[in-house]
Amino acid sequence: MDTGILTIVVGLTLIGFLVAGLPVSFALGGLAVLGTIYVWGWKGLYMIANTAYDEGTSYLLLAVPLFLLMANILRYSGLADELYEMVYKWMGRIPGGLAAGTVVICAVFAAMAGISSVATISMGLIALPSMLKRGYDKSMAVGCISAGGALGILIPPSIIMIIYGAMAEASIGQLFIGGILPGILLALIFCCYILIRCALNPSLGPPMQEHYSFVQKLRSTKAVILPGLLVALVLGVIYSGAATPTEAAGIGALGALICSLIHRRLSFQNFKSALLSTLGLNAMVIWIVTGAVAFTHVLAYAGVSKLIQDLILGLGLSKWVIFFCMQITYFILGMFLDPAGIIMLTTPVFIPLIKQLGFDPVWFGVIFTINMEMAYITPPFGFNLFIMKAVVPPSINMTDIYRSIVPFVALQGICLLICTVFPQIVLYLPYAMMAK
Amino acid sequence: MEKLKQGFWRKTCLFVDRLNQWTANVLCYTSVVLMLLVSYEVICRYLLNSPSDWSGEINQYLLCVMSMLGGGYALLIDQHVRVDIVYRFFSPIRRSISELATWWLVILFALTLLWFGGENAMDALIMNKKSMSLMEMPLFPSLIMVPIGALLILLQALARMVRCVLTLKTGLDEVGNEKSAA
Repeated sequence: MDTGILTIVVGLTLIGFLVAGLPVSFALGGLAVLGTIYVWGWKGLYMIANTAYDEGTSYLLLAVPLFLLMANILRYSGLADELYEMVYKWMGRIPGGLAAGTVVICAVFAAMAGISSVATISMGLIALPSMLKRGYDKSMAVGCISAGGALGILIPPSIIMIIYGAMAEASIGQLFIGGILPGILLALIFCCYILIRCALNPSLGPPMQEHYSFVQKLRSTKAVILPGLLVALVLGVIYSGAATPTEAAGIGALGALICSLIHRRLSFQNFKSALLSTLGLNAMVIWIVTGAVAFTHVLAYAGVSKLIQDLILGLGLSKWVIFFCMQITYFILGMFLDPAGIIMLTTPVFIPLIKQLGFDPVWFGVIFTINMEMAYITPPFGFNLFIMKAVVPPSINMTDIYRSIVPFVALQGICLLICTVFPQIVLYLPYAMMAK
Repeated sequence: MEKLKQGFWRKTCLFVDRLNQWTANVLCYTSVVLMLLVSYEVICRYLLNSPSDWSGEINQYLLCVMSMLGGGYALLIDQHVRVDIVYRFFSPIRRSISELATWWLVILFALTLLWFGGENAMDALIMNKKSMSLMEMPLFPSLIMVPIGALLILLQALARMVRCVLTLKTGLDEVGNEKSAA
């Protein structure tokens, strides 16, 4: 069969299976089996079994269950309540202060957890009822939590970055460090937006009347000690090169466990559900990587990846046009698909392409992650939107949630643009780290 | 007769659910062991100044155990990422039809891993293959995880397809039961 026809057949079959609702991991894995039989014959199927074993014993992916464990334990640590109380006392009197403070807490959580759901659930349960009670506009309250929660994947640690790094063969440590400044930038953009809008129109986020003495405020500030230590520990060891991301994940998980034991929040029931959630998510990640790696092997051998690459490069477009098209593709896929699935589906074509076009894989990975921030909150199937739907009071419906995220998606787009025009924001810290 | 048969199939599906749930209940502690081993290794290196040579490799095998064997559980709780643009709006009957038309691919994938992964593991056992590191650990225990994991996925996928058939027969949403069973 001609490679061109093969490409079209494989592409259409894949789309067919995915639209029918088949899990991405098994759609890719199953097609890899069919492709292997077609390209190599029966003997080639050993390769697929080997792929599963290789990914299952991968040292890089070892960081995934550990960061998941850390995040899942943090959910039950009580740290979120303390941090919110602090924000409440310090910032409650500023118009929009609670919403801006919520974004800051989300950023702090993002620096401890590698997934977005932890901050989104915690803040949805703690900050949302509090803000609504104080008369905050529901769009503002819901939007800031959905968007703030998504910071989880950009500010290191980040499961998405680990998967990207493993697939694109980019340094995970550098990706993590590269995510720090863009993450802080995005959090700042969110806060500025909230504070400016609420200053212009205080009815969006009315200031509260309660007054706290300076001593009371200062006492609430002790809430930052444990999270601060945890963040410093995890990022510090990665940045200084003292430990690999995998080791940092192990220490971080232990630290999170100790924090929750100090707060006496972790019941055995909660602990067990944290472990089970870790197990399920980890298996999902490893199996999707297995399926995608096997699929990529087949596509590469059959010449499909090269064909698509040559086709795109043959158009003679400038590399920035191709870059722009890639981002649009990511954005559209992000409306329908989880970021882990997007990496897997686009890797065979996009990763070789960015290398050939001369983009820095670390920089591209961070830009990709910023784009995936949007994926978490863009309708119809943004992950955080469904978490929000599960925690909001019945008076807020899905349309309200969809409407609330519009300005935040625009702000994320601006952040993406800034980091594209000024790549130093992404690359300054990783280069400084390497230069040491 | 018809009813008896359906009772049998439902019980079998429930058994598969319980098998994967039970596996998960036991397996979930692996991540705690991993955490402790990784932390131990770092502490050894920095505080005691004597890096351990065995924990790194053990950790990789532990990851293999929990990832491979966790696949069936992830299927049970519907954790695997999928695109539900169209699927979400299907009626239970149409979902069942579309699943029956596509899930054979999962079966094929799992069977491949079961067969060829199993052969890899048997080879390692017979030829007494050892890892290339200083530890020279036998490879069989970790290699066998691939076919066992594939078997768990296979069973859960088959249970799902049986439930789809039941849905077509009864017109009730039998697949949805999976989540409540978990």
